[in-house]
Amino acid sequence: MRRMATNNENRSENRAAASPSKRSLRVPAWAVVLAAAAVLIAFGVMQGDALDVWRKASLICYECIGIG
Amino acid sequence: MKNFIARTKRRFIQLLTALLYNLDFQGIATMTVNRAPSKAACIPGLHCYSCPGAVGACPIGALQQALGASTLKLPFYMAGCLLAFGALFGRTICGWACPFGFIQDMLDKLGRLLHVPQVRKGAWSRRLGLLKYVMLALVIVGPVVMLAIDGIGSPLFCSYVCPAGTLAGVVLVSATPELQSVVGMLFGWKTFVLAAIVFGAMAVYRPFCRFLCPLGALYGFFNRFCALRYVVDQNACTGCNACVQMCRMDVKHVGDRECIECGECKKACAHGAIWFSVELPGSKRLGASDAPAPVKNASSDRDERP
Repeated sequence: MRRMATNNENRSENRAAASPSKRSLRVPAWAVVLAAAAVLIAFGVMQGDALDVWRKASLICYECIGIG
Repeated sequence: MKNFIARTKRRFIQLLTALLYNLDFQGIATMTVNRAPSKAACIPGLHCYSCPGAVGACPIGALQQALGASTLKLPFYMAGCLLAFGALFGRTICGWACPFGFIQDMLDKLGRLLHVPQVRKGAWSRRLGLLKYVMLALVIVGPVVMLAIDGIGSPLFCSYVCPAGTLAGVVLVSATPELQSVVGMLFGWKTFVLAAIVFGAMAVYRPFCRFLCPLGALYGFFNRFCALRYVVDQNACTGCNACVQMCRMDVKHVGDRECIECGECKKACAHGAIWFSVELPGSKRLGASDAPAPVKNASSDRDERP
């Protein structure tokens, strides 16, 4: 009985390994980080970070050019 | 012709990205800073947003400004941009899309042309490479500490080190009499740092990228898993180490934190074991983790390969 159960498990594992639908579920680490980055960017834009960046970048940054 | 394209592909992309970052030709002609909405977007490479031609914001400068802002907001937007660039490209940006990296590559070529003695990498350069992590800490902690001390979150890296900003400063100061009247000791110090890097780059390969750049230090953490990178086919690798020996960065193996993904190792690999790889969701990347351990000194294997 136990052997039959083990055989069934092995068969289902083999099927999962062979199935293209299972393989397509593999998500690389960079995609997870990219998704997190998209959430952060969206949140940042909503709280006005992009506007702050524009405000600073559209003027001469005296600290950056060495005038202080 | 095919060889010429292969040899100049990286240079062409470096030049193209430097141009794309500096598309405001009117700003260059009038020596004024661009105020287009595109300045709200960050570019992946190190490039000062005070440069007259710049059409995007420098990620390091913008991150420091955000961290040092008196509003005490967490810089989600900047963190997201840096994570996105890192996840997609890692240090491929350093090798292919950083204008200051391109300048250093050109200075290296000039140094060789002028027969400047070249300083080879070694234990000294690997140790000095740790300095860029100190710079990264300075970028993240510096503005917060300065904000707590004097109420002004001064961007310490930009103020005292960044040579890209100084380059923009030299251009702006030389063209603007009003700015010439206010330059002081700080400008002198920054010009000295820039000059040291410029002359250093003729004798030491990419000194700023290897020893000082906080952006490279940050992107290096993504090198192990970013989407675009060079990978080693462990089935084909014989462990001859030719790739590491010929690399001018301080790498211990292909694709580690110091690797700028320039691809010179691919040309040096006699066994065709190094590949430029793009990993897409659902696809399997040809890479070290998927393959068996390398076969050291396996001459028979080497002979069998096409």
